[in-house]
Amino acid sequence: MSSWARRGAVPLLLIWAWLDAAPANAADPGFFGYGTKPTPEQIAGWDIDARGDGSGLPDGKGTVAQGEEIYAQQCAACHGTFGEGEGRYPKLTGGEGTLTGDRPEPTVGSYWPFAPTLWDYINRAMPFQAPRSLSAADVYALTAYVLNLNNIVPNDFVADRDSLPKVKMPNRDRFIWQDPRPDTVAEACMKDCKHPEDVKVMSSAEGKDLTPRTTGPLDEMRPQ
Amino acid sequence: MGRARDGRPALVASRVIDETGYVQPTIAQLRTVRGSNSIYHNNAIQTWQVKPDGSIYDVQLG
Repeated sequence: MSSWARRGAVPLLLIWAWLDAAPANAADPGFFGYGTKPTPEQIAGWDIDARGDGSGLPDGKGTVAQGEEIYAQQCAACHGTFGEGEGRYPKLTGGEGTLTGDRPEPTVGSYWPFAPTLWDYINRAMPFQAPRSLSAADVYALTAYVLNLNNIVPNDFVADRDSLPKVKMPNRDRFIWQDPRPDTVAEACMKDCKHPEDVKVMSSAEGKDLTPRTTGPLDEMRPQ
Repeated sequence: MGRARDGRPALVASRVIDETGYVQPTIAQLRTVRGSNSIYHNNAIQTWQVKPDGSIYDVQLG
């Protein structure tokens, strides 16, 4: 084979390979040297979202009364018997009219825009120490109970994939469906930004015992 | 850090500027816009106070 033929053959092969690979690029990025292709079952395990319009909600249902029992066992220790929040754990009830004040209290009643995404949140994240441990029916029951605690649904409400999208949440119409950020405009000062005398500490964690001292040896390293 | 180790107290903070040019706000600036109980998305500059005895505290500047 002449050298001319060899040179000519290389580009042709490259073009052929490129044409062959191009259509597959969008679907299959190829192998990066690690990982395996997820099975449909694995993808289904991650694909758990339920959306505001109710899409993604599973089969099953739960009543307010069922939810009351599960709530007492799984939720009340942190969120309080009536959703008032123990300690600094999040309140689930109250807070109406506070969102524009200095200390907004966003709760299911005062803030949450869609009932189906309450199901989604509980399902993916609660209870805090054991997320994904509740059945779909348990989560429906808890959703019904928390909505009832907020006086959004009656005592005989049954939560399921049909009823939750129809619940009109009190704060739904007050959302601005555009991201308002950036909502602060700061100047990137790089030099001589403030006189040290003008810097005032307005709040300090000192002496407030905010950090539990139960971590072992490190505690002994703190200044006495 | 280019700062003399003279034993005096110090305030330590860092500020970022993202790829859009957005400058991380101070906590006072953020609080003006979002109130004092926004819970999530508290992306203000964090300040740490270092005292002469070496103790460190979480502080907020005015």
